[in-house]
Amino acid sequence: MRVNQILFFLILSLLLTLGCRKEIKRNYIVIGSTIDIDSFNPYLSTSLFTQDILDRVYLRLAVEHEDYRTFTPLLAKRWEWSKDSLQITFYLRNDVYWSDGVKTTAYDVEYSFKAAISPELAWLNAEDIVRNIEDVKALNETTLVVKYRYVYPYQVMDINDVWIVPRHIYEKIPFSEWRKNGFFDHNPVTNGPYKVARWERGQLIELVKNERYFDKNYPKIERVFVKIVPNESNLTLQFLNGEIDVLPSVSPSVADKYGGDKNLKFVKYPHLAYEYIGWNQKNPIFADKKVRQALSYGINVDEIINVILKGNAVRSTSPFPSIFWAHNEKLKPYPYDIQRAKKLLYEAGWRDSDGDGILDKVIDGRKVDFKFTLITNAENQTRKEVAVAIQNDLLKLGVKMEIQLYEFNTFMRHILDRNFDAVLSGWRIATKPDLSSLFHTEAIKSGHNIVSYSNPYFDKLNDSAAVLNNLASAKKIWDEIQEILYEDQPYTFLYEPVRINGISKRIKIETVKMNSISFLFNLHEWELR
Amino acid sequence: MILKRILNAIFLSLGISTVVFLLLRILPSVSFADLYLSPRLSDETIARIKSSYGLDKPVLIQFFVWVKEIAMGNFGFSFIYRKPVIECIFDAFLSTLIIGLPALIYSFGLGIVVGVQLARKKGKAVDKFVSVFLLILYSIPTFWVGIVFILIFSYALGFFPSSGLRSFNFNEMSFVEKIFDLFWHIFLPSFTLGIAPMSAVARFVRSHTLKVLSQTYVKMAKAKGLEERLIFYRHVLPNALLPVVTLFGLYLPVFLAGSVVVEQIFSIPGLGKLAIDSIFKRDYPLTVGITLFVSFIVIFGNLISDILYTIFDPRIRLE
Repeated sequence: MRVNQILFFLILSLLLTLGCRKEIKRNYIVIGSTIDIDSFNPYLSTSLFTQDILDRVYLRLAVEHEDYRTFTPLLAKRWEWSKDSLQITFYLRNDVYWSDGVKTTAYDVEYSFKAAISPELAWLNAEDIVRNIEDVKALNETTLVVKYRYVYPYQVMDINDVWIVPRHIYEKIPFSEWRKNGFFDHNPVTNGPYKVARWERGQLIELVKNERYFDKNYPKIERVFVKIVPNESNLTLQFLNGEIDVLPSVSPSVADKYGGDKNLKFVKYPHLAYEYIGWNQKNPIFADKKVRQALSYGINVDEIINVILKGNAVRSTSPFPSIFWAHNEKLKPYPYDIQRAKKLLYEAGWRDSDGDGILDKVIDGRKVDFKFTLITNAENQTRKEVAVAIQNDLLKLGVKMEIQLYEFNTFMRHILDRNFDAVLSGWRIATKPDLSSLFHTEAIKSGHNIVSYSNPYFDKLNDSAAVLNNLASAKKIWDEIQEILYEDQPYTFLYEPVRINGISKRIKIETVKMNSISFLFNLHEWELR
Repeated sequence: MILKRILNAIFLSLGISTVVFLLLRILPSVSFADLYLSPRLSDETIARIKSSYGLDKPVLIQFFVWVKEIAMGNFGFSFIYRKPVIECIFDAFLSTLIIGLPALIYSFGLGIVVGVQLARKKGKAVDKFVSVFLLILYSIPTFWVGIVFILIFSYALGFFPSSGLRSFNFNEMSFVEKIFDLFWHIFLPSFTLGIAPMSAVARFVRSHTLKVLSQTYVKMAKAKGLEERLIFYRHVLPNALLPVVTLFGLYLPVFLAGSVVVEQIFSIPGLGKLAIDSIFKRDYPLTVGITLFVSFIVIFGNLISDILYTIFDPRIRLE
């Protein structure tokens, strides 16, 4: 018995000392994530999270601001436009060094541009660059000339999208080998406020202060860890526990439940995304615009926002989110109006002729019930709940909707093959207004016009607006385009989710800027309390 | 005989991988689905990316290329990790072993002890109570156990870390501290992983011990007046524990399957997590490589337990 008792106390005291470990004061912060980054080679990344991290270690020519139109100097001290606006000359800083001590020069940018447009590499964002920029030439170490094919509103944005990588390292591997070579992931050479100290795949990333960073006042927090925990519950617990200081993309229910915690703060902001239901017009049920309008009237989106999203969303009215400059603010969301929905369905010829509670109509000589399947991806809990709410709403109209969940890759296959009736999904929009890939007739066959929407007038307006250089006159056309889509309802635009990030009050909240560009927008300026 | 079994094992795992290889490509899904999230991406770019991974060729050609490479001992190249599949698997397998071995040892050790003790106390209250408890442990899903453990031991009590294999400052630690740190990290995942097998082993040992106890030679020994302890430890136990050796082979896949769940919850960079990642990212070479590796391990594990059986029980021969 005595031996047992001693053993017991020994184990207990051991456990207690171990338990005390996390009380140690930390001079670093920990960012939590369910996913790892793709690579430290920016040209191989697909996820936004990778971009969030890489933007802390690589410098761009300029800092893009939240309005997506303002650019302030970063690697480039200043830039000058040629008289015909077809050329911009960038003057680069002379005091920027890569983390291995080599100077960052205009030749790095010139090389990076070659990488960006290289067909062997096939960078995801290459298309706009190839189409719009004719050439990038370094005149000397600090002078860079960018020649454009024509004048258009996003000239600075396009060249700023080109990631600047160290030529002396990257040119060791030919472009065609990049996707198959792990070379870039070992000891990445960078030039931002942070450099990479460690990357243990699927486990953690350690960023430390880059002593060579040109602005000696930054970063304020000298050590930043990214901790990867794939299980969301575990990750959330670690955030509540104080092990993790920054938690990106918190679910509304967690934010709602722990909003009162005195050690935590939830930062909310709108971002460039919206959720929608796409009605596949290849299905004759959805070919009639009145039917699509009726369905939009018949879904109680406000209730979805209040109950499922705990108020963390705003109604969506068009494919341009409300914070985007091209958004048409005159459009009011479709109100929840069952009577109007029923009337529209009646006008479209839908009756309940057999009295089974489900509407029916004779199409091509056959009686068809108003039944269809909505697909969405199984990984997204919110979408699952929203789908059920919609199912209930539509049943009140006499419309029977089934829900089918697919694993993401399979879901994509169904979408690309146009093999669905209706889809619940979302888009994160690009920073330039262009709707041709989503709604243009030409995008039915090969693009992302997954609902097979076709309206010649829309096509014409879209083509003319996309190339207009005067943003004010372009805005007028975009407004009209949004009115067309509002009337036609190829999608039922549901809501624009508010992004919620959790942050520990160990960090001075007043120093933190999180926005739709990145939740780590000014990480180098953050300070600890 | 053993050589033949090993050859069999190799061919069987190749067969399994072939099925997985073909299934992955036949099932309706998209490779590089992430790419399609960007609506502005053109078909040409996607085609170029796919061709750089050899995915533009017909499935049958891809298959023959794969077979040829395998024959030369080349398991291919992972799309997502951009390194040889074999390297990915070995790194991950090490982490899985770190979690799995302690779990294996404790689940069999504790399982045997508990099972034997229960058999000795058959019919008593403690036997009934513990047996029901074991059944409950066996029935609850591992992911739930894991989350509850994190909730209690990590979140509420703060005794153990809830994820990863090492602390942030691992590299700055002394050797002893490193060992300590590692054990501190693997405690919860190993414990979680071993629970279901432990209760299964305990229940198995209990019933087998009871079976042996009821045999005539035991009664004979009792009638002869042998001491109870002597009968039990010298005559009953060796016979009762013999089938546990087979259980060992049978439970290897259970541990590997369990590690898929446990590694995901506790963020352990092991084989289970690698398998999940590779499947969700449609990293075909990696998925097929893992299948090949795991099926080989399982078949090999069974072979080893068969061999052990012949060593412990001379009446049985490998045919």
